[in-house]
Amino acid sequence: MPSLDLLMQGFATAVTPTNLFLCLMGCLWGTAVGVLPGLGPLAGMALLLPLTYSLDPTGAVIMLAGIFYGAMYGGSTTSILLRIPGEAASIVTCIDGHEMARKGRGGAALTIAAVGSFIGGSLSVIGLMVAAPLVANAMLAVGPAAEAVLMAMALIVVAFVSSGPAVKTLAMIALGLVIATIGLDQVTAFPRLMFGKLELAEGLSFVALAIGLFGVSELLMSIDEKVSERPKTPTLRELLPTREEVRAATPATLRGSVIGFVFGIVPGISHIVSTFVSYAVEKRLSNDPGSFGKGAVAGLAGPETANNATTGSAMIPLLVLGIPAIPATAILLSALQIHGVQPGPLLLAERPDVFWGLVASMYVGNAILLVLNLPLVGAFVALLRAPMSKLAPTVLLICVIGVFSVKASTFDLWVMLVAGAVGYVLRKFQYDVAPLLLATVLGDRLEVSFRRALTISDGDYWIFAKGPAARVFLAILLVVVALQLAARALGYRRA
Amino acid sequence: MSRSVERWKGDAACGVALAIVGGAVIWLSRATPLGSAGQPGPGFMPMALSAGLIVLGIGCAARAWIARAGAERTGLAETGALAVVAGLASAILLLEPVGFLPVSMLFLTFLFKVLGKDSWLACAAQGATIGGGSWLVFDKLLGVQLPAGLVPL
Repeated sequence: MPSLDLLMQGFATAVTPTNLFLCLMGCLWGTAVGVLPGLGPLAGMALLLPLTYSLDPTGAVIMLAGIFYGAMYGGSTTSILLRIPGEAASIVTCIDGHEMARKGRGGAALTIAAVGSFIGGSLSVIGLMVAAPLVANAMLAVGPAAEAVLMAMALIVVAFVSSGPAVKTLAMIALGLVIATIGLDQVTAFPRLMFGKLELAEGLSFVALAIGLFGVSELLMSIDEKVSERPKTPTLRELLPTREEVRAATPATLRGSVIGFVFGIVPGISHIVSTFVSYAVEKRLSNDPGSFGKGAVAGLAGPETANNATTGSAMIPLLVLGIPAIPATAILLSALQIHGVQPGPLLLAERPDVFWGLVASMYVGNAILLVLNLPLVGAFVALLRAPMSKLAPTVLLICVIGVFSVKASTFDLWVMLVAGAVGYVLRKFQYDVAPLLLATVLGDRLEVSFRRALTISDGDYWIFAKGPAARVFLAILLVVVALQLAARALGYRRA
Repeated sequence: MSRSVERWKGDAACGVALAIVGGAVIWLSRATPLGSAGQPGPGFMPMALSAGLIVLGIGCAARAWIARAGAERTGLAETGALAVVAGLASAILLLEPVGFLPVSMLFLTFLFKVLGKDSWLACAAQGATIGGGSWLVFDKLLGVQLPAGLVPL
């Protein structure tokens, strides 16, 4: 079984002392940024992205992936103990997780969340391992027309599954695509929107944009928010769940794994949506739906598992199609491209070390999170006691160092500052900046595929509806849009 | 100090600003070869996307105006956030001529004071410690080339 051999080689890569250390650091930093309100996985990854430049591609992606799933885990701590979601995907965890904490079961809630995260994360890695080679083989036959349809599909699906109004999300996508056109045209090398500045030849720096839109703007938002409650650190004894709690959590955890894996493949805000869907499913299946919102174990275990199960499946569109399904994986895409690794159907054949090293490191990382984070919960809770007046300036300084270190350019620092200020204002008025960043990442490839396809077809637009791959993508797009419109018509979104 | 604006007004202003950005891009791209619909040139995408941005920006503004009932307000540009932006802009301006070490210390001291309640002396001590520590870790330990400026260490 060749996949098993490759997985073993992946483990050999993942457990080298350097990669193990990077995975550990990624998990710890990820948990810390997940715990801190205002800093999510994307900001955490963006901040450390420049530090990965000196690493080999496998080490870089192992560390960044560790931050990604570490942050998913860390978000649950503040949700349970303080009712503050460290990141958006932990909003549902607040509902029953915090109620358990109020009833003195905070320690057990943390354990259920940690074990659920471990199971969800591990099962989704198995899914990634099985599905990725199949999808990669299918994608090898895809030409530029189908690729353009795929990119467009990803962006339109993002707009329709977004929690905010579709017109706002579409406006953010359009702005991101306009930003992606800055620089030399990839087909003719004609300068576009460069204002005579050579710094713009390759477009706006992705690192500066990502750190500005997510790091700086999140810090500006956090400065406005006040956290007054001080959490109680649970003792090791309090971390043990009762037999009834285990019995209630087990089926919810398994269902959450499946829901999270399926939703993780869908581009957009799948990790957030999956938690709400899991919560709704658990409530529907429960013999006592009235207990939900009052500390129901299944209401915590399901969504928290689903949240972490998306981390594995979100890697499928990233690694096999080169499409970041969620903003955090856009950072991984950028890291791979910076290291000269182009994700896509050929990745498994050309760079099996990167793919299988990452897969193996995700198993290792999930185990690290389970083993280390429960005993360290006191340390992470102590982080919450750090005043924002000290934390924000220090993190900002790291942002400055991170952006400057890429090209030693103060121009990029100005891009970061402007992106941060614009992101702050947009977010204040409920414009989601994540689709903007996704569009910026995908814009180049979308345009090149679109123009190549038209060159091949001699200007015939029907090329975008020809061929089985393009038709499948269009069908998926129509189904997702129809489902969303139907859900809105039936009022589910409001509910 | 807390400033706030009615949410719908800010929402609409963002929509208008997006439409203006779209208009500006069309104006700036007017000399870029457009090509044709069948054979798009380098100016095709910026033009088409900016036209879309104008329509969507107006759509956002119109949506905010239609839903303007109620006087929900949003805090915006509060003192802390403004201080961070001003401090960051000053640090970027001074980074290369003055150097990372003094600028990072001044930047941290200023923000610690504005955002916290410690004395200037305490803030300066904390700023010097964290600024100096960051320089040691990133410049000396990790080899990130930070501007030396006036302090060529």
